[in-house]
Amino acid sequence: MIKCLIPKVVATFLSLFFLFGLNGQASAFTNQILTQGASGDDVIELQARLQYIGFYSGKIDGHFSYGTYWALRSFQQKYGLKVDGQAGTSTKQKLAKVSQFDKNFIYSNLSAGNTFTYYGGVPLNQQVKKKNKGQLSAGDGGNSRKNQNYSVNHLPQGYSQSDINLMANAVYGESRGEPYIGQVAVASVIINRVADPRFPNNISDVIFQPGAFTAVSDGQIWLTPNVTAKKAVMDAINGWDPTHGAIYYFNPETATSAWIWSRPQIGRIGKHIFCK
Amino acid sequence: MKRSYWIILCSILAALMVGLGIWANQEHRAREAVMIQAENHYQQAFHELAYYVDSLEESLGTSLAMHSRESMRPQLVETWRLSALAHGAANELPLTLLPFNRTNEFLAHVGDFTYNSGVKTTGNRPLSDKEYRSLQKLYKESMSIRDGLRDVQSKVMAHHLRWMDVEQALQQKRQNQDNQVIDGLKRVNVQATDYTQSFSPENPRNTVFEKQKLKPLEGSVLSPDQAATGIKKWLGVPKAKIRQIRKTGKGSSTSAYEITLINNRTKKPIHASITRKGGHVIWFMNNRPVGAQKISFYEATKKAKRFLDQHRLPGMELVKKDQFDKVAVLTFVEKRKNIRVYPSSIRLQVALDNGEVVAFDESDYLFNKCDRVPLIPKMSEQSARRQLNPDLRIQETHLAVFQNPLLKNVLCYEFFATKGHDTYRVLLNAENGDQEKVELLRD
Repeated sequence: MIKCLIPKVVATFLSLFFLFGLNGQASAFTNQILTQGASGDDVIELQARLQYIGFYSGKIDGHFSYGTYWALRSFQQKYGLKVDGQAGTSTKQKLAKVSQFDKNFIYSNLSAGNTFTYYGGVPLNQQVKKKNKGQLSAGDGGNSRKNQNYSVNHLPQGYSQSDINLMANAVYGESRGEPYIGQVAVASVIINRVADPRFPNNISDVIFQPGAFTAVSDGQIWLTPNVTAKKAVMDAINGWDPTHGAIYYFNPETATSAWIWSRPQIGRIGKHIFCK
Repeated sequence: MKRSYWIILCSILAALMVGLGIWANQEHRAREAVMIQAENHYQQAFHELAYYVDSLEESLGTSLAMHSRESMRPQLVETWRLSALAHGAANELPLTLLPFNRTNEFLAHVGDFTYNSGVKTTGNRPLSDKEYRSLQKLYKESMSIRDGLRDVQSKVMAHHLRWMDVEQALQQKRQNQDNQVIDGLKRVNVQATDYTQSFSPENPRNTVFEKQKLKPLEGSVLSPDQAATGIKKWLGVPKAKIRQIRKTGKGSSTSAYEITLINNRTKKPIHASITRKGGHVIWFMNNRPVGAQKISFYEATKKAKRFLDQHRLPGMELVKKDQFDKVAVLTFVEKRKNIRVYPSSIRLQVALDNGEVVAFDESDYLFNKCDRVPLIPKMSEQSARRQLNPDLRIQETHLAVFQNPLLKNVLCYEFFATKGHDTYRVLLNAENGDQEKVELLRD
């Protein structure tokens, strides 16, 4: 998929290049303004160009991170531009004028998953560390290749990829038949428990606390979660809590514990009743 | 002929029976082994808990004998470590369905207290009277919890009680059976409850949901219909169908209506929560699929700002930008006299296919009380800077109000600094220079 996309992307870029080239705008960038948090081909070019003239030393990954932000700011300062950390028209023009961008080199290395840099004045073949073939087959092959183009789903502060996967597993095992909002609610309960002093203070301990989740007890947590469950987890992590701070929930049709009914209830979402 | 037929049949049956017996025996043994392993795991966790609480009590007692903070510090750090271990062991027991909460809360308290007075506080100012009293209270409490746990422990040992039975008993409908472990732990819990109540002004984390701490809302109390009309107008979907309106129960920290609308155009549900008093939108989520990305991230931030202006939430500053899939997740904070008020924040999600705001959350903005925060720093920026590692390159400095783990709003100097490839956010208290938070920013 990516492989067949790249020629297209390159073609679009080349056509844009000629278009703008003819108009006298010396830039291969599209005309969008780049700001921190953005990702995509323009960011790859921005990072590559900043690295070429020595402002950016991080990874060229297409994600406008803090590293890119500081690099862009110091570039703007050095060249007397307005220092705002955004790549607008004048910044991009200036950057295109003073740097180079070897699209073939960058994209071939990105899609091969190589470790590489792109400093001006250093021979390109000295800047590539080829990815180990064996490593590729041992890892998650196609998947990593897809992500290496540029990582759109970078992680929220304080969470690891395995935390998110584990939560998606738990949410899917617990509530796969529920409406989307009910899945966000279940993910919120996990997060609320991490924050609560009466419960363990990390994701995996909360999920695997004995008897805490039926999906863990009966092994349904090991089903493969779908995209909806993952999205629900991301929404909960980003701060949407449909439960107003609930730390318990139960299905009134199957709950056997008498104690759970004594908790002050907050509300019902789908099949579950959420409570404090 | 017939007879030999019978003999063959019988011997086959007999062989089958024997085989079945052997197989069943093996299964039984395997099951037994798993049960014993699980039981041993629970036993280990419980005995560890008892041991750590024991050491904790001793450690708290020892620290009472010391005077200066410097001399007390190692003992407080040791207590902190033990409280974390005990908390971990307690959470490995199958007690989620038993009101053992308060013991966990006690352990969390000890952890918070010892961290704040022993680790975080700099300098050698002696413990204040208040801190000393808290320490004494915690010590007294640890004694009664220890006694309770030791009591349960001796019963478990003497009567060969099994945690697997506890687990089963807890999952049954009626809990008033005669299970000595459960009874014993309930007794421990009652004692801890007394303690928590007497301690509650100091009880830091539970205050989050205490009503008087939330910012009181303005406006009159709405009927469900008024709330539904209000949210439709607010969202700009006057023709949406109302599928459901529910009032939150008494466990909720704020009284609100949960409303589900069906968008007449997309036929997808929109969920929203509106406060009964004043009809403020706490959050909404429009659960529609997002198409291919058509607008840039920068345009998305513009759309989000326009959305806030339209809904009379001006003067917010965009501080955090993330992209997940084809959705931009943006966090805005209130600005007061050019100071970022972090606890008072709003989050938005903008779909990158057409720039629509698909989710919104202002619970922090609505409920976090941030008045009475001094907005004038006592320390100069220069003297705060001197506390930073000289290897750090400071890129940006702001004044910001930060809510620390004790839920106190403090005025801080916020430094964005870099070292190599890494970016750090350092928050230094603008009053006394305490380091409130250091964060390694990953993206």
